[in-house]
Amino acid sequence: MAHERKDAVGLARAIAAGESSAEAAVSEALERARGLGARLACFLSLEPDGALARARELDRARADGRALGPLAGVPIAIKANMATEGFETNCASRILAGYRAPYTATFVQRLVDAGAVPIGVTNMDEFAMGSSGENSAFGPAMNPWDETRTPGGSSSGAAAAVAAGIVPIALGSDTGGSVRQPAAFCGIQGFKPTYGRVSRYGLIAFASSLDQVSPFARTVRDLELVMELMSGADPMDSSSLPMGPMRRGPDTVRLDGLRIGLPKEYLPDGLDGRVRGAVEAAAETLRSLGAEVVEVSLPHTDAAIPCYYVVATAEASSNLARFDGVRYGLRVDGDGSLAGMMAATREAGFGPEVKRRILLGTYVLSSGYYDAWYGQAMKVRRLLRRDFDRAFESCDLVLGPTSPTPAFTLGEKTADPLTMYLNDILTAPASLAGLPAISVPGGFALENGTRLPLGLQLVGPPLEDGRVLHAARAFESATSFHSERPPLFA
Amino acid sequence: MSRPTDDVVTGVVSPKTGQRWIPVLGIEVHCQLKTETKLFSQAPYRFGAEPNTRITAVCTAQPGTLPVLNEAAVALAVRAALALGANVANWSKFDRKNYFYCDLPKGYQITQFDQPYCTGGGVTLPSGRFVRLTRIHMEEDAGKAIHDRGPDTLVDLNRAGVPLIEIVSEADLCSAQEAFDYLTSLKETLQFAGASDCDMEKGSLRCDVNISVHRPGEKWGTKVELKNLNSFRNVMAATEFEILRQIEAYESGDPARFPVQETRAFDAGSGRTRTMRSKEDAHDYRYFPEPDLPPLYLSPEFLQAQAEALPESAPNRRQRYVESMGLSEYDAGVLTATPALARWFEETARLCGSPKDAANWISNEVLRALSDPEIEARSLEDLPVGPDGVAELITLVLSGRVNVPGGREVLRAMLKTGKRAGALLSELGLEQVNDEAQLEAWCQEALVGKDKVIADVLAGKDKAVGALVGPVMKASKGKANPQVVTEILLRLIRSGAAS
Amino acid sequence: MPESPVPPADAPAPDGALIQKTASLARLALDPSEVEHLVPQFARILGSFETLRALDTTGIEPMTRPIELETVQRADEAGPCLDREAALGLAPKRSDEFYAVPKTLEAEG
Repeated sequence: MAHERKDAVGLARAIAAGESSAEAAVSEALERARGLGARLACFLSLEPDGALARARELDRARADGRALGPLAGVPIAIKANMATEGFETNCASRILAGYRAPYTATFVQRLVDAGAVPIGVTNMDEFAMGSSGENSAFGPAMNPWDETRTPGGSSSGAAAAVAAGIVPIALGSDTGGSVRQPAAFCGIQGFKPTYGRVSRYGLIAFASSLDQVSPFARTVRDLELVMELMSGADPMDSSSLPMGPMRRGPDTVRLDGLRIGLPKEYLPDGLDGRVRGAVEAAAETLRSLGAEVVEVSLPHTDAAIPCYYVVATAEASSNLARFDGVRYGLRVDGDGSLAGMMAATREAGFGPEVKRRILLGTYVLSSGYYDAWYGQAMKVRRLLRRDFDRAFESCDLVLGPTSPTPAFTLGEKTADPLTMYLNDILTAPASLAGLPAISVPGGFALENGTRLPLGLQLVGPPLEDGRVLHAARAFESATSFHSERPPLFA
Repeated sequence: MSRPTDDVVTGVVSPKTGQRWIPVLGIEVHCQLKTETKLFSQAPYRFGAEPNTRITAVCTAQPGTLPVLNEAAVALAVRAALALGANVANWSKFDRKNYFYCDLPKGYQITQFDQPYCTGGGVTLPSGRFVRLTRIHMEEDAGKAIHDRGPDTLVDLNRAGVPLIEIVSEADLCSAQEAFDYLTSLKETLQFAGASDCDMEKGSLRCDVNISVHRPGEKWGTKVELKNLNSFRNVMAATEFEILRQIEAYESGDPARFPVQETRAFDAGSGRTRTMRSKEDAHDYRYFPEPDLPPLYLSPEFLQAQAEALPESAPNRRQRYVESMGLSEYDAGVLTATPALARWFEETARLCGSPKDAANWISNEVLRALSDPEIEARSLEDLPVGPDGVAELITLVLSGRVNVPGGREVLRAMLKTGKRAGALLSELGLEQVNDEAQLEAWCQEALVGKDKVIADVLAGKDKAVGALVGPVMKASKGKANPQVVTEILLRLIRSGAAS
Repeated sequence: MPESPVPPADAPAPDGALIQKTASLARLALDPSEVEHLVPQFARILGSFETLRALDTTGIEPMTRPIELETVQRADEAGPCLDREAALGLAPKRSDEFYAVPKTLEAEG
């Protein structure tokens, strides 16, 4: 049975109809995870026993005629920065190697309650810091379209696992583009909700005011279903929005009257022609669906990268202070003093990029530099948000590329951290502004004879998650990029 | 209102040079709010609980956990602020104070930095002087590090996350005695507001004192912070020592010996202070707004409700006890030592209908029982008898069913056994004898041969009869009503029935 | 927080001492070769971030979080505690019922 060809909605229906079983779906996912998944280094650990037991339980429930959740029997993958009781939640870091969370994240629990079966933990950039997956302490994941290339990051393993047909749904986290950029690189859908839509309780914090749990899928309807199940206020997260679950947009795939804004700053003169071409073609497609395309301006876009890296590293320097060798994770004794033990533990436990960001964040908050860096970044953040607020006066959604380039090769950008940071230029603004944004498959670029996916980003006003997903679903219905499979899928 | 000028401050006279020095003191108090659970986690804190049993994923900073504010902590913090006459802000925010230590699970403390929930207010000292408060803010406590057990430092996280308010005074205090008075008044206010137990032994009240000295009219000296002050008495001792230490340092004339900006610890054993941390080691706490907690909004309606729910203050109670209940200033003071005692008294007074009698019985008998080795209870809460029991006894005394000495005996038995007064009265056979014929017979007996007394009384010295009351009481085995006995004796003598 | 409207443009270029001081604040025992690497990286990253500092933000309110909310408050009701054995079982070192760390004398904070 070719479960891997089905999306989550299709798979759940097949299981509910008795055409397949949860056990078969989960076994097949585990098998592919052990084969293709291992080849692409998608997973850091698998939980076959628990997953199969859970699948059998669901099959028994069905046999007994009990009501099944909308994701009953659907295998899903969890990113390594998401607490799932008993799973190794190590953030792809040596400092947390072997750490098994003593509780379960709210969003994981909500999907499990709907019948989803987590089969394992996906690879990522250490503590979600990176844009290529190469900062994983356990080795990088690979792109199923070209194994010499990055699947993107930080949610590298999750994107690769969905693109390779191992699971229909994987949870990622998006701080500055960590789901949208890998979705673009892997030719799948990746949706970052409005900040606060999905509870962060159980998501190991990188940058608290930016992090959002964000799903990957191969179809937009899967994203819509996952969002309906996962979103909504959580009493355990004070920053979760005090409102119910997300409501999806209309069933129609027409976009009549919708105004799509094209920000000129997202299409600069030097932009890769293939990327520009994909955006222009997408604008045309959207027009054919009834939308109107207008030019808009986001004048502070240039400041987004420094603003993002100051805010994110400042918060990260504090969020990662808890990894001190006292209560969990690694300990290295050092010089035998308490401070020495903590410093030696952190030195040995964190990789170079994490250390660099902790240092940067510590620096921008430290006495004498706060106003110049962190204080200034928080004000520029408001300017960035105002850019969007003004743009949304003349449009309903903003369209642009997700990334300035298709997937780059592994090792290409590791030497210079700044080059890597600049990769986030198109995704960081929506993160800073807290806006819902999706990356949809939007075309292909030929690179040395290899077809590489291109992603397009749609950004909506705050709380208009349903609108963003609706437009993406309409675009999906009018294109076929999402149904193309990487050579390794077979 | 401000700090008194140097010319009106008594100051401290240097024992060496006879010069007058002006101490400048400010106090920071950390006060634990009386909640069931912690400030940001649902762990129920109890002093003295088994180590590391009052912890959740949140208070051990398991990765991915988030803080959620406890509404009771907010209400109590607001009540404390209102009781101190402070201004409560409608909007305030939380910040992170970043530093590493083994008892600080997250590597930062959630506190309020530049927008605390409360500013201003103050404390009136017994001298009538008003000490201004700079601010009050909410924050979470750290855990406990134990250094004196074995080769390692041991960490107990039960206390990590307990809700505190930090109350910061202006540098308005001028002496060790004022520091003591300030703390005493502050504690009373917080206790009566119901915000905190303020029990230093349980760590629910802790204080740091900032001290500098200067010559009258000159610039203030360098500020030194004193820590490890675990009783008000230690605050006095440490402050007195530190003032003299600083004076001596300045008077040495050697700049190398002058006080430096540092933190010093008080050692109660030696009565001295010693350097803990100098300015060079000062932390860079990298405060920034806590992204996990949106700002705190306290509506005018909420603040109004808290003001209405604020229990009566100790000074107001004392005034009311004196003015409308007719108590002495002394009794009013005794009965407002703690909010629990004041409540006990008021309930007893209400039930027996006589505040003065309630005051007498409680301050003379009930409080004495708490230090009686034969009675187990050491606090009002532990007593097997409540205000209703004591009120019942007082009613029996007032209605003449038992005399005062008998009543004392009954109360003692009540406090030991928890039995009701009525039951004990018959059990102990202490029911007062009011039978006139019986009383008259005992009186007649007592008058036999007491010609001197009779003569004195007939000569107008009524008091002489007192000598005969004792024997009558003895004959009645204490059950006679001494007042009635006196009346009968006088009547018998005057009517000539005595001979 | 004290505010200087115009950020100092002449902040010292990051050097080894600054990296070391920052590393010590962040409790990272960097080795000398790492410091050597980080000095030019810091200079390059911060240099490229000058676009941030060049913006006029006079009168702009800082934006701490993307959505303006007021914080929620929970009822003061006890929830389940972690099992002590489970909690201490995660620790790299324990001693009886405590977390154990190298001996340290003075409290901080």
